Amino acid sequence: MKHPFRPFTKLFRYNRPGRPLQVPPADGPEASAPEDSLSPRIQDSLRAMNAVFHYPKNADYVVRELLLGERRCAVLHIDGMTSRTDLEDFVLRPMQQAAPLTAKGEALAQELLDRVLPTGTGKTETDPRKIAQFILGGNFAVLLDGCPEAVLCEMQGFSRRGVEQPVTETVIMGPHQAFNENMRTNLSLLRRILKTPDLVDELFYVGKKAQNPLAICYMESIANPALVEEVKRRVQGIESDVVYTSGELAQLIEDKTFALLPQLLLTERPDRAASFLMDGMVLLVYDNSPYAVAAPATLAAFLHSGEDTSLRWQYGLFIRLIRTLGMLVALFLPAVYNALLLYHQELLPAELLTSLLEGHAMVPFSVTAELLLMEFTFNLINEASLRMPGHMGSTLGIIGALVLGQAAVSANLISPALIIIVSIAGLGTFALPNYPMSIALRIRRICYILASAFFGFTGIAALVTLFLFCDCALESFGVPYFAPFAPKMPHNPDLFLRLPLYMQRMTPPMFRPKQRVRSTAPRGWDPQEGKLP
Amino acid sequence: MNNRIGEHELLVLLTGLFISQLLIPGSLAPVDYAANAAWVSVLLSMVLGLGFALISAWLLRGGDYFSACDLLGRASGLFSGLLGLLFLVLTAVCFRGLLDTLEAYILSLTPRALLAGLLLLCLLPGCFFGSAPISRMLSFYAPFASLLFLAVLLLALPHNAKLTNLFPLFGDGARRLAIDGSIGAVSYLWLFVLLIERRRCKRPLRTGLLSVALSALFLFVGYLSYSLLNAPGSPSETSAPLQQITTFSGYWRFFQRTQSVFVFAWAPLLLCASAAGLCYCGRCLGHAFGMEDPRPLFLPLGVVLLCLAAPSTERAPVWLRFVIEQKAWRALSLPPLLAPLIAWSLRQRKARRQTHA
Repeated sequence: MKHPFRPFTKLFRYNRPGRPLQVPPADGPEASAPEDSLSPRIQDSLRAMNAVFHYPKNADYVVRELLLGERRCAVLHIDGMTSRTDLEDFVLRPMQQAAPLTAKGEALAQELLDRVLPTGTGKTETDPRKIAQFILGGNFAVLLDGCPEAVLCEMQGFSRRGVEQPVTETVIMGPHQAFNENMRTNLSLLRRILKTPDLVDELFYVGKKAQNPLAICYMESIANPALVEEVKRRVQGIESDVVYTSGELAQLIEDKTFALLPQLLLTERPDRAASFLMDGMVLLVYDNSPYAVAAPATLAAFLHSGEDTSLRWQYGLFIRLIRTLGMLVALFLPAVYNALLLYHQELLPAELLTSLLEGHAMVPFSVTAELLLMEFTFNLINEASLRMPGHMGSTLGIIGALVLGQAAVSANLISPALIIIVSIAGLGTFALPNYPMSIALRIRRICYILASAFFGFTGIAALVTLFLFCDCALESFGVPYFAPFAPKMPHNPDLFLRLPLYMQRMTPPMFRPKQRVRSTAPRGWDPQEGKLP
Repeated sequence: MNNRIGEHELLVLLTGLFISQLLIPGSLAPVDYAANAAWVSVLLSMVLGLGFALISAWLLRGGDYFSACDLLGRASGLFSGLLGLLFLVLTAVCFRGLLDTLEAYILSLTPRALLAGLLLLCLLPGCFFGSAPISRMLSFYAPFASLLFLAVLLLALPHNAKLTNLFPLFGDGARRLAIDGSIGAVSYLWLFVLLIERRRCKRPLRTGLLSVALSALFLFVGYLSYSLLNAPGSPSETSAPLQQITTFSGYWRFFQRTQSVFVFAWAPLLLCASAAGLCYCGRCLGHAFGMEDPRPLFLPLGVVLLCLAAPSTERAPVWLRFVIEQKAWRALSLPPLLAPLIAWSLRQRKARRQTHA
């Protein structure tokens, strides 16, 4: 029997369901499993490599077959990732013009490297998956008939960003170069600062499906081997299909994922990264990400800027104190203002209290509601100006700060004092040199505002205690987050205070470095000698 | 749960615990009876505390409290359980003190039970994380609290201190002072923490003595300032120097207004002390029940603490008044005090037998 309402259901079915997607079998009948090693026959080796690359479906996988003397060869690469002109000039032409190879078997590959290919790097490999991994890095592989090994050479030719100025860690004095998305470039930037063979970078691949290279860097004579092993253990334990950025990488290896504060430090400055290495920390330089991850991280490191050591100690100390004060202001000022107006009015002088209350009298919201509204608006403007392209971002900031603020005060939506309070707190947030930490502070600031709304200073004090309990329980790779303050450890005068460089003689003991003393006499010259007449 | 506590952390924790016990308006404060001569009784209680630290460290050399309890065989659980109860009572008194102060000076309109519940939520994570984060928090916080204390003294003393207020030097007589000194020494019952952590600490005796001396110095300065600021015979409240100085009228006007700021000094300190007390209570009871991880105990212990702390003193039932009075503490502190002594004598007897054999 036909359904009586069928015409109507047809009429109103605006989205006709198509055929549901069939879940493909894990291994279809056509899929051939790639072999474990290459064969001496080039046809078999090519078949194995094609299976890995899903050839011919994969459009940018290129197999260039040619003759080297009488011997069949194949050059494999990814179109667009290798330099085509270099490939033609330094690989294809020499191979076509070379005299026939005389060696046999595995020695063929070595002879090709020794006699024909004029490339700086070269190695041999038999595993098709490893060969594929190498090719995907923008390099090429050569298969030779009669040889069960492939010759692998580096010839990256994909477009990359140059070394530019830092975006999130800008300084006035100090180097003006930042990491970019290329791991090799980043490592070279590090090596340009630390010209020592003591700097070790071990290569790992992260991701189960799409493997990206990651360099774990450390100073062999300084870093604690247990720390290095722990970093390697966590990196090798990553089971994610693909890790896109170093931010994701940091999330996958950090200690406590539910803690609010960042437990690993991301930096885009090679000079800071180098100083972390010299402190005995381990640095993770990940391909495709302009930020290096430093582990372990402590609170003090988040308050430091790359500029602090470039400046004379008096200036560095002053700036660092301002920054620490800025952090405290950013964290507590709105909440304290809220508590003062709601609970502790006796603390304010009568004139100031009158002025504040008068400003607030025409506003139809409570102080807490005002504060939360302003916090939301401030964060909204901040987020929008970040996402806006180029100069529009700064324009939006000006509009937000001046026009909206002025209009809100004129419309009696916000009291003028509150705009000052939120602006100062916002400035304090931006004074922090670490972006993830400043976001954490913004979140905590809102919590403090809510606590002060309910219990005044008591609420703030109780919440400070709660947060400090949580923060003090934090550890980054076994190093307490508040070290070397809590627990107390010996340290250089370079934490909240920054004193002269010659006083900084220790490698920070909290990382338990191999080399305890950095230098016994940083200013190893005698000031009494060599005085000019 | 992280209980890896270092020497410096233990020092700060013990000092914080001693100070917190004498900082609150409870029955411990020597200012109750000794009034202007309280600073003398503070010194006397320090001597008693040092004696306790010395004797207990000597009795337990080579071991800690739990290992001493284990020597007692079947009674082991009883002794550690009683110590757990002592910690619970000390914590309850500390927490009640915090609530009393808040109720009296800052949040008089907020229901006490609600305040107690919310503050308990703040201190429970501290117990769960273990004694190490609590002591780290105290280490981190100590400079700020000390600065606030220093600010109180600097703002109050130069304008209002009178040296004549110190006389008569021994107040109402040496007997009163001795009684107050012995009462004050009860706060050094927190030294049981040192006995529990003895093995982790490289120099336990030094840590114990230093913590007693430091806390006594802090309190001595506080009570001395109090005496300098108040004429003998002036009405005194049952609270400790910091709170007393900041609330007492008759000196710099600016200062009278600013007392609520000092909630940032004493509230975190008292919360830390409560969290530490509950943590050690859980550890002692865990040892008594043979539990390796005492964390499941903290939630029920928190509920018990809430029951002990939430009712105000006026509305408290008779049993609660008994529990929070000194008599109960003294009774509870006796068996844990005896435990090291019994263990020591057992060890001595064992050694004698071995030498005879």
